[in-house]
Amino acid sequence: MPSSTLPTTTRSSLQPVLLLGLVLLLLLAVGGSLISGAYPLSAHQAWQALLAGPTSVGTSVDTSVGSSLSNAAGSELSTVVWQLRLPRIAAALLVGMALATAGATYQAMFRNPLVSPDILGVAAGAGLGASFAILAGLPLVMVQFAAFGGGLLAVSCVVLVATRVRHHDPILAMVLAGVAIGTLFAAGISLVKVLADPSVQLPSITFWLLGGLHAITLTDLALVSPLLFGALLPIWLLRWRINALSLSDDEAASIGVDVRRLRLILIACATLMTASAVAIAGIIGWIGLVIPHAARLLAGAEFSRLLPATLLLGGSFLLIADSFARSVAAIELPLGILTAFVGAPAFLLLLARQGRSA
Amino acid sequence: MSTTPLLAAHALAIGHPRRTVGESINLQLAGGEVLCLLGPNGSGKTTLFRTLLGLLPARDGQIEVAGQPLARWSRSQLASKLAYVPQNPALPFAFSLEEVVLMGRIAHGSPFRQPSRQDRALAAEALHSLGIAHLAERACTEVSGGERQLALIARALAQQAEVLILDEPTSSLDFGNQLRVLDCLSSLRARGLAILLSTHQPEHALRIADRILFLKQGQLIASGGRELITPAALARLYDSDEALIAAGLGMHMR
Amino acid sequence: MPSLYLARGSDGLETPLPGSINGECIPAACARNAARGPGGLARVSREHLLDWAPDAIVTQYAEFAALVARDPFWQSLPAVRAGRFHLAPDSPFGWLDGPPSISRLLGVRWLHQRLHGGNENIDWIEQARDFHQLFYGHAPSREQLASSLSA
Repeated sequence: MPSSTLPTTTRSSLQPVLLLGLVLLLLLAVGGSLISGAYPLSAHQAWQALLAGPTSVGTSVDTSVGSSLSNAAGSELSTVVWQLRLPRIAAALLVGMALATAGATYQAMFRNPLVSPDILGVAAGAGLGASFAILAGLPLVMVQFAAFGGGLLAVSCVVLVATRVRHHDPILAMVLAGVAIGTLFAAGISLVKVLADPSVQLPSITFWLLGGLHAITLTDLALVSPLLFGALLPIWLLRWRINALSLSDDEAASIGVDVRRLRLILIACATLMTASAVAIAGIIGWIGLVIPHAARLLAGAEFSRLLPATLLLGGSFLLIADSFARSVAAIELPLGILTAFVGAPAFLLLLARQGRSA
Repeated sequence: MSTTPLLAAHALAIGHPRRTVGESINLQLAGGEVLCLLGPNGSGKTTLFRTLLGLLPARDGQIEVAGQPLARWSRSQLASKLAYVPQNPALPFAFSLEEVVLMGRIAHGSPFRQPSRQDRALAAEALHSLGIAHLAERACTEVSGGERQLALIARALAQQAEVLILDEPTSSLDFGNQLRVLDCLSSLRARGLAILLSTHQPEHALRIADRILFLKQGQLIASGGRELITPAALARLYDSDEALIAAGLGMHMR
Repeated sequence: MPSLYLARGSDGLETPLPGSINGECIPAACARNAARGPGGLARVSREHLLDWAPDAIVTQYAEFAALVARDPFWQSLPAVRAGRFHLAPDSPFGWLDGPPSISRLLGVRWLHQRLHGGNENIDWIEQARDFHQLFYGHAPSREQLASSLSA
């Protein structure tokens, strides 16, 4: 019987090989990213800077009056590698992993491989929060908090509305509520744009909405990492149980799983991950939709095998995209645009291939 | 055979929040017997099964599982007593048959665990006893409807449940697969499981049922053994012509 | 001609590219835009700052100026170390940008003096009052202008 995807027999025995391959891909992506960027840095220089370790920026040059050129240059190289590129690489990995995991979780929950993490409106909510904060002229940290809060608020509204609806399938109710609330918040963003000062605030809002990692600082990472890992942990621990959500509610209940509670936990975790990622990186789409799909083609749909593949592939992909975003042109290309240019055609391709089921 | 029925319902009223579908339903099921439910479309068979499984709240009456009221059982405890094979399950993803069967083990233990060696052994045993061990690694979307149905029964077995409730397990299967599933259920009865199934085909009931119930518009209008299957009784059940039923039955009578 | 980086936004990583209307004050003040590339406004990363190594940095955003004062990265840039970081006035309208208006006629003179030196004793508050009296028929008071020009 011909199969459109890799036969399951081959899949399970290839799993360790697959993971090894994905880890190698990740390491290659990290290496490539270290030598990509506006500042000219050769592989040799990058390696030297890595070995030298992180030194504090600037002070080594202040104290000595006749500091040699190599000392100043060396400090600059160290800054580029340790202060700028490595944090950005870490951020790309984390954001990619977070968005891809959230997507995979939602796809399992909604029993549909074509679902994105924004289905419950988290990106629209975060965008509105950030837009409001920029309109109000708040400092950058407040913009990030507002984005995070906005994302959580949007999903809370959706879940609240969906739990009140009794006469529809709970999944359908959530999807519909998500569409409505997402549209509402998107309209709010448009309103903010109309009210914003066109020469100062509007460009800020537009750039924020397009997404990017160029302004990532170590503080951003420090704030967001505990949230991301804290939200990833329950998903990781529950990875076998999540498979039950892909059955109908009746079947899942009959094999002993409390479907409502599990769904709430997973929505909370996926939303935390997505909102945190969006707060520091802006709105980056298509990762949560396409990466789990690709991972499923490689590793199979069973969630405890899908999750590691999704994590590795998501991190690598966003990292490669970000390396591209900062080296292909003289200035930064917004990351959201790049992922859309790659993700949307990939999505269409997957859609066309998916004759029966993936 | 134990004296306490594994599953029992007294004066059960079933339905949805705004509508009663059936009432005054009594039934009992013990280990090692097959109870077959016959009835026209819309008579409430699926609603009855979902209520017995605790998936739908009963509007009135009591349900007891192994002598204890249904309400006292937690979801995961209930899973090790009752197993459900629904009609037309959706298959959004291409899980392998082994993965499908393994899901029956999910509720046995901590929510954070992965499948243990014992889980895998039980799943393999269940597949083997249903004759589909050779399909363990195949995707569920690539096997025939009958084999898929057998996999769902294997999942119910892996749950180590004592009662199997099957909603029209043969309705979308070809003739060969239908017989395969029925034979399988017979052998499970021989192993001591209690089996409750609904079917649209009286000849299936004749083949494997120990007891038969007629359900019409939510009421149990008859209960008994295989002698219940007569053209007259079936004509009353399906609101049809007795001669037509007799002719239809005659084609399948040995 | 010195290279100048015009920083916009609270993190200073938004800048007008050469040819953009927002950056017209730069060539008018006899300087070269440190940013490179075609287009209007762009987002850049701190790596670009290291690569371009502008001779001077100017901004209208007080929040960014506060960041520069405390952040080790910005402090390490040659322009900042040499004391060539300037906070432009933005009262009553932006002198250089935000919006790019006629106030730039005043702002370019201010910028030129900052970049190239010249008469250190110019009373910019008085200059601003004269400017607004001429073009708007109303001069803001000294107090109104003072806070913006304190940098």
